[in-house]
Amino acid sequence: MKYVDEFRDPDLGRTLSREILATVEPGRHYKVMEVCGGHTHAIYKYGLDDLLPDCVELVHGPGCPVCVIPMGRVDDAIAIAHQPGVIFTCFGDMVRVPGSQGSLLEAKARGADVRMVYSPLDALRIARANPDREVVFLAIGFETTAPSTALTLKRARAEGVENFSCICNHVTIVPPLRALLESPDLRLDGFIGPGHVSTVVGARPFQFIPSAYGKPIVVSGFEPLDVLQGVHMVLRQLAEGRCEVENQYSRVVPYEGNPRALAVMEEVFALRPHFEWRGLGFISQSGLRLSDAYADLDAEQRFAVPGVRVADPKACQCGEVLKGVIKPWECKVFGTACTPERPIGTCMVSSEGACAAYYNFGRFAREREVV
Amino acid sequence: MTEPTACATIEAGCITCGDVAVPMTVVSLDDERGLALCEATDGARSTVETGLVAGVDAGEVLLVHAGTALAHLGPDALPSGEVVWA
Repeated sequence: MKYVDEFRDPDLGRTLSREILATVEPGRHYKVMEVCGGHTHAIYKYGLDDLLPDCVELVHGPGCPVCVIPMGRVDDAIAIAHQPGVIFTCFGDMVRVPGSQGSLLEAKARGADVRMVYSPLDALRIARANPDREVVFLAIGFETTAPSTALTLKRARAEGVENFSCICNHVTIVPPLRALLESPDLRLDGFIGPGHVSTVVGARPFQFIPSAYGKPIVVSGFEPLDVLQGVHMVLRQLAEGRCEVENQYSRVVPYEGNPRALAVMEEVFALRPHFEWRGLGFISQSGLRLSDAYADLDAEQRFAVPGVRVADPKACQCGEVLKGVIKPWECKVFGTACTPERPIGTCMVSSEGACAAYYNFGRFAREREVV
Repeated sequence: MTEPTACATIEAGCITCGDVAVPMTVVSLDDERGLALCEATDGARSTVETGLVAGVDAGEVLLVHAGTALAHLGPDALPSGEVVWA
């Protein structure tokens, strides 16, 4: 079958693995960052790192939407969830992200009406069905998810649903990549670019990576062969002395992205001057708020929120993991105090988080090696 | 207390939080409201926003994330099953 099965073929995977081995320069160590949590998940799920030569190191990037939410924003969400008459809606993993006073799931246990939804449209449906309640949707995610929130807000406006509002935590992918490239403690040779974010923004926004920083980037899909081919294309650029944006995922990602999605985001959102990322600190123009035209649907204006910055727990090293400075298992609390069942840090919450992905798929292989 | 299950379709993780987009087949269309009833490979059906993709037809495959179609996919874009990588 076209498009998917070919990209899961183990024989082709072994062939590609041999081609990668033939591409690397003897004695050279390569550090390639996969930006997106979906790639991290695929790498551990399929054991792709075992198919790479030892000299090719994959570094996990900051592209997991829940991993980068700072504690203060979780506290703001919980404060709204506890308001009388509020139905608080959010995606499934977000309910387990710890704030300074617990998670939304714990807020639910204490009596707040917190409901998990699959899409913003589901949250709007809850608002329609409960006209006497205030329904708040916690919007998180990169440019993949932001258009969905934007369309829902437009729909709420068009249908006159007045009891619906949104606390916006959408973030954009380019500013954190720029921050990582400016970071002195991280030396990368190239990037595997995010596939689904690029469905919306296209491959064009990543042009600054080769032009300003001299690093190759290959936008890649999420099937195992997509990721291996992406790594191969990065290594081939390095071997041939090239440095450009390449699109491995061209069967889905157009170079210019999805113009309709970009237009609806432009209408509904505006850039915040700065936004805090867990572990990375404040990054300029990296977060979205609702535009002035949609301010009446902004839950941060409709409800009082603490808006307090809260430092990450001292034991948590999510910041170093998100920057690729340490591997998940090098964190002091990995797999002991911090597990997917009881996460301390955000990277252990979502299955796309580097720590949770490694905990679920990779730790047994490593334990065998260590033993 | 049980763990969240509403979105637990991949290894107990939320596919929307995980930035995962899935191929879904269009079953029927509501052009007036810009919505489509779509079916995933496991047979689960859900309502999908089609405002970001032009000219959607019944029977075609869309790439869907958070209840919103992001792109058209080819008619053969559905996987026939999981594989084991040894």
